[in-house]
Amino acid sequence: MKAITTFLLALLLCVLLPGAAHGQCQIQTFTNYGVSTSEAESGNPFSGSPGGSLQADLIVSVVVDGSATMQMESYGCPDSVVTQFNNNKQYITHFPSVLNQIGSLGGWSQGPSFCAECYSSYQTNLDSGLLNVGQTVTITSGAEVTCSMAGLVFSPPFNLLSGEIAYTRSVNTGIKAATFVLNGQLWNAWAILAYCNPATSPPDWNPLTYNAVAIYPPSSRFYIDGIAACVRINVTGAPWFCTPGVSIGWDQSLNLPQAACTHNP
Amino acid sequence: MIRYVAVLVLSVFALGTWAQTSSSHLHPDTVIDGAKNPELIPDSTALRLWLVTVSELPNATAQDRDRQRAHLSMLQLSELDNLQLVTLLANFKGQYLSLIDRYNESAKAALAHGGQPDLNLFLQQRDDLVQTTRAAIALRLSPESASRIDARVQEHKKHIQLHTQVHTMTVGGGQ
Repeated sequence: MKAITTFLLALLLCVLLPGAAHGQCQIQTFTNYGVSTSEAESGNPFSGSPGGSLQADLIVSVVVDGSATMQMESYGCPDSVVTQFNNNKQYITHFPSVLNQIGSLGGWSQGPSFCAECYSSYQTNLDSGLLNVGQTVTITSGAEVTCSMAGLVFSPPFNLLSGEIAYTRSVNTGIKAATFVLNGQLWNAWAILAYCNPATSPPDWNPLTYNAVAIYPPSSRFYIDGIAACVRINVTGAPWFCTPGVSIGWDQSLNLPQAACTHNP
Repeated sequence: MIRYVAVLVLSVFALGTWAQTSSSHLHPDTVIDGAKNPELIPDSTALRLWLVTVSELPNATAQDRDRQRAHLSMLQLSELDNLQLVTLLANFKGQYLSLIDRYNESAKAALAHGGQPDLNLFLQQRDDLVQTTRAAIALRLSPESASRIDARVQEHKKHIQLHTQVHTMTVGGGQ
C-alpha cells in the first residue's frame, strides 16, 4: 500500500512539474487548527492532620484539532495541471504531531495520518510523576501538521511555560460570598484570605472562596489548605494562572500558624 | 519487483526535478492567543476544546479515568453531578469521533472523484453537537454545577490558541 501511494505521489510530481514549467503553479494549503494546553493536579496529598511534605502530579494535556484545505491556483497554471492535481489530491496525506514535554519527560508524538482535507483531533497527555509543591518545571507544548507532498504546512511557535504545584493556606473570613443548592444540599461559598508567612507572601495561587456544606459553621472550616496546578510564561515575575485541585478545611481550634506557601515570583 | 524499480526511478526523477523547480514557503501564522485576548475565543470553540480534552470513551483505561478525574476535580461537583457529567462526556466523545470519521470518509470519497468535501456542513454538525452537549449539561446537572462548568470553560480560553496558516508551494520555476 505504501509503495503504491509513493508511486502515485511520485507520478503526480512528474506530471505536475514539467507541465508547470509553462506557467507558474502554486499549491496552497490553508490550515485552521485550534491548539489547547490544559494543566491539572492529580492526587490528594492531604492526610487527616495538617502539615507534612506535600506532593502531587502535574498532568498536561495538549490537543490539536482542525483541518486543512489544499488547492492549486489556476491563475497562470495550465488547466491540465490543475486537473491533474485535483484528481491526485486523494493520494496526499497529512499527519499531526504534538509536542508535550514536562522537563525532560515526554516530547513529540505523531498522530495518525489522514487525507489532505480530512478533519483531525489529536491529543496527548503527560503525567509529571510526583512533584514537591513549589518545585517548578518547564512545560513545552505545541503542534505541527506535515503533508506528504508539501512538507510542514502548519508550524506555529511553541509555547514555553513554567509549571508547578502550588500550595496555599487560607483562613475563612466568615463572610458568605454565595449560597447555593447542590443536589438538594445547601452549600456556602466562604470568602477566604491567604494565610502565608511574610517570606512566602503573596502566594502564587490566591484562592478567593471555599465551598462547604452549610451545616458546617465557618469555625470548623477555618484554615483552608489547598493545592493547584499553576502555569505561567517562562519569565520571572510573570503572573501564575492556576487550576485549583484538592483542598481541605481544618478547625479553628487547631491554631495553625501562617504557612510556607508556594511563592516563586 | 518492477513496481519497486518504477517507484525508485520515478521518485529520483521527481525529486531531482523538484529540487530544480519548486519552492516552499510557510507564511506567518495568524493567531488568536487566548492568554492575551480570551474575549476573541468563541464560547463554542472553548467549550469544544475543553470537552475534547476532558472526555473519555466508555472503554477508557484506569489511567485515562484518573486523568479525567484530575481535570474535573477542580469543578468540585457532587458525586451525582460528576457521574452525570462523565456520562455526558462519554456520549460527546463517541459522537464527536464518529462525526469526524463520517466526514473523513465523505472527504476521501469526494477527493477520489476530484470533488470537494462539504467542510461547512461538517463544521455546522460539529458545533451543533457542542451546543447539544451544553444543553444536556444544563438539563441534567444542577444549576450550580452547570455554572461552574461555564466558568471553567471561560477560564479555559486562556489556554487556547487558534491558528490559521497558509503554506505555498510554487512549482515550475516561478517564485
